[in-house]
Amino acid sequence: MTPAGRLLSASAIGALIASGALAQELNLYLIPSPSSDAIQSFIPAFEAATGIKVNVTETPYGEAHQKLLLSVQLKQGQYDVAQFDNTFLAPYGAAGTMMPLDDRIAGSAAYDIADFSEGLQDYGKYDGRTLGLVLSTEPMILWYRSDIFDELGLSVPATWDEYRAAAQAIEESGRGDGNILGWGPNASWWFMTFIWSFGGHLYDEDLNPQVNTPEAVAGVTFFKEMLQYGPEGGISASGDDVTNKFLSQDIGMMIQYSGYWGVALEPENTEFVGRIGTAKMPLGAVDITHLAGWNIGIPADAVNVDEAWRFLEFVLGKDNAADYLKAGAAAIGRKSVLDNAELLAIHPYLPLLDIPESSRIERYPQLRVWPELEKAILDALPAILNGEVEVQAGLDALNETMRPILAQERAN
Amino acid sequence: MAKAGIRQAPSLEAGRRRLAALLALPAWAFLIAVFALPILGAVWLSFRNETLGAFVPPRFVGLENYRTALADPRFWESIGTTLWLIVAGLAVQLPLGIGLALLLHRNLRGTALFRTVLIVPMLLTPVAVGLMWRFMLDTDFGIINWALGQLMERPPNWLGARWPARFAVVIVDSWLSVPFVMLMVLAALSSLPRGPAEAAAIDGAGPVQVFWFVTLPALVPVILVVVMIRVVDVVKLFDILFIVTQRGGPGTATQTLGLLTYNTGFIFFQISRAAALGVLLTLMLAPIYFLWRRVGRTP
Amino acid sequence: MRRAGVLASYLVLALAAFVALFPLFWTVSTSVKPRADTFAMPPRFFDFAPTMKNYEAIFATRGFAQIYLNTITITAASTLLCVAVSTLAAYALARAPRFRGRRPLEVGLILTRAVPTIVIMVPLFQIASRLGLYDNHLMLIGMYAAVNIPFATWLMTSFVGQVPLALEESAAVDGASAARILWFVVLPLILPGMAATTIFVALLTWNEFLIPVMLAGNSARTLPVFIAGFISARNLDWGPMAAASTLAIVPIALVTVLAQRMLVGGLSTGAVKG
Repeated sequence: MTPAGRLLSASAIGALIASGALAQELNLYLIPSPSSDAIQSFIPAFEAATGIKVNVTETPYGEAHQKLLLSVQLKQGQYDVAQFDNTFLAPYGAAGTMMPLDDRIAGSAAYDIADFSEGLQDYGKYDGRTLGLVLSTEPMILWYRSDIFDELGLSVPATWDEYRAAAQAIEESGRGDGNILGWGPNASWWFMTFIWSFGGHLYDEDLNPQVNTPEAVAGVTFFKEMLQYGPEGGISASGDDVTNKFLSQDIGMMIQYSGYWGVALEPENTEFVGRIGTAKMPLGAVDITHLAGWNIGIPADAVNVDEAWRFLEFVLGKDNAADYLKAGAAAIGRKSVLDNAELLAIHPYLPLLDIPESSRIERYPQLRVWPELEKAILDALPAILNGEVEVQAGLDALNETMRPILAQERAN
Repeated sequence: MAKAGIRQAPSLEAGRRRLAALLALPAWAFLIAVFALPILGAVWLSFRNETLGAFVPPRFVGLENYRTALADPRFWESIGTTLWLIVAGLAVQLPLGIGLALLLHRNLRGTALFRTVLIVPMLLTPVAVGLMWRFMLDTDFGIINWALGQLMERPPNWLGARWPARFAVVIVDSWLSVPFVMLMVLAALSSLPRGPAEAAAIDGAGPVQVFWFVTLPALVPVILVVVMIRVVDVVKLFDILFIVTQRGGPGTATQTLGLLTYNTGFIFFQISRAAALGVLLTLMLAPIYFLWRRVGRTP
Repeated sequence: MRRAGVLASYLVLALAAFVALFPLFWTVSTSVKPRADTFAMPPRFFDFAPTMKNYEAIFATRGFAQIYLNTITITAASTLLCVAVSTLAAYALARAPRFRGRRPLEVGLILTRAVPTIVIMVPLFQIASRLGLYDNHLMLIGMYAAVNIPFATWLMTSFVGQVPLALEESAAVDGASAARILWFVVLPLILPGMAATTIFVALLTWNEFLIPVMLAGNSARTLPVFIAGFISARNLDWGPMAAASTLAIVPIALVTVLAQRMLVGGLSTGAVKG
């Protein structure tokens, strides 16, 4: 037999086996993360309660979304539940990858959507339809070393001016570096945050780029300025490196997603356990909350839709909320768990997840061209941050680079 | 050499030809299934506007993807980056590889041990190697900058700035491929007749002159082969860039054309534009195919 | 003067050996360090309490045994397939100066050696998914075998070329068919060459990253993809990453030491006679 023939016959056998499988099965498509671990820890209980067999496929972040897009496009019906990063909500929405869940959510007392603040209720919405439940609520918050702050008699900064002063004071005291931000390969996270916080936008309602407005320039200038109060290797720090360095060197402050808190809990990860404080991100011209996190939903080609919803209700329902958080996942901002004393002892930042209406929630841009747009931003930032080009000039150029990419979005 | 000896009865010759054609069939099957069909698929895709996930109704767009690619500064920059990695890499790898081969060729005591040790890097898993280099090159807790910090005031921020990152990639790539250059040259050295070098030495030529006027010219064929293989391998380079500079960073500093193809297809979801880039990349290698056939023939 | 030269040679070789081995040492050393020591500055070379925690973490990872087993079986199967196919093609190329399709085959081999894998990955990804061959062991085995065929054929052609033609001719005179000659006369003589080729192809296959990262999902994942996953997940641990890297590298290091003569000899043959 030719190799190709062998391959084909093997796949035919595989298909036979698959079609003979029990209907009472559920296939999860998860992405390695504390959230995925927590979900999987509930599988035995779910199987015992329902008799439904649950299979898990874990796919690393770097390939997970691309592969799900293709799998659903080919209508293979491989997965019944899929975890995804909110960043990919727009591509998923545009491609019709996920099933709208609004009716099921509205009819579910077990899920109880009213337990979420209004801003969070919209977290999985694309084009007015909910494509995913909230799987984690991870605002960018201020992390600080309480021991350093106490030693130097500093108070927790509430504005960026105070933040700058604190960073400068720590740097000058020689006690450590003032702060760390992600100036490296994930600089887009902070770039957006500062532009929004200083009152700017990435683009306007008609998808015209807006990154060279005075507000945006002020935000990026601040971002760049803070580099001088950062560790030597700050300019190449990735999102993970930021946390890594904050947890292993003397650095006064960092602005980072709350979802990293799990790492800071383990004494074997950091000698600073118990010396790390959290607070709302300092205020700029506008009160914004940069919110990130996972979603989870049902792919459009899912076969076992009812079972899938049952599973989601079981793991992410209101009754299970405290247990879910105790299983080590990044927190979900349900109101009912945010004042749970037992949980607060472990996750002191929980109150920060109750985002007040006064704070405008900003998510990753809901664009299907976002990956390309983000790459354009990341391509432009190194030269701006290390001073090769002036901030204004660099952002003027970036604005022009962004224009044709945004035009593709409009062309749809 | 061996080929010259074939002179047989016509029937035997015909049988041999039939057998040869038959024996080549399995190889053909693989080449067609895994290369020819996908390349045709890439060409077809490149004339369409398909995206991963089908955001837009797919249709034929003619040469639009090629026009977009050629008008994109990132395209031209990535070609420049690829060329830099080739040229800078060879500038490091050829002298080091040839030098080490010459040293090993002296057959000092312990040569076998050194030879084994020195070929280790080329055999190791590049992904693992890349991660370790990335860790060693970290500005704050990397051992390289700690060591350099003892010698200089401000060691380079390897992965944080454009040119240091480009040098870092050359360093890692060279670490992996100097052993290859060394082995190839070593093999060529051991097959050289000793006569000419000895004659030159007797005529009073110093070791440097012998190397420059006798040994090096004799090595030219193998060096050409090495250069071609390295060119092809740098164009194909993926795992190291994927890991060490996180897909070509910082910014676009180490984004080769191969990586731009990957980013366009799998990060931006633009698989048709990526296919066009891939086709252009393949066409650009055309001179190499011809050179290869010519040089590959030289014994 | 001569002694100084010898001394200098040894110095240079020792330096090169240090550069070649240090990253290896550092990987292994990081893999047995407690996390805090991993980030210690100045670096801790020997003064730390070795721990097996990182290895325990790796072995506790869901599916790690499966991944390791995958890597071994896929490597073994595709290497054998590749060497078998390549040996046949190499025999044809070395022994028949003219046969139908010889020139296209030569061109095809060069082309496939030179075409960057990334170019064919998008269509292959689509084809594999449509045929239900995504994340399929056989698909990966075939793919790996195909990408290494040009190299293996190149190497094997020179090994076959070294077998004296007279042996085959005398067998032919005795009335042996071409197939019998290949099997009973040529094969035993090229076995050492096949062994060297096998080792090279196995190493290349073991290390391959781009193909499995695109075409393997959960059930056919291999070690390099697993290791690369350490940077794409929000994982902050260099220790387990170093442990996984060590586990990938150890078999290679063993093979290198055990088969170094074959490796050097193999590449030398290919290089000179290629």
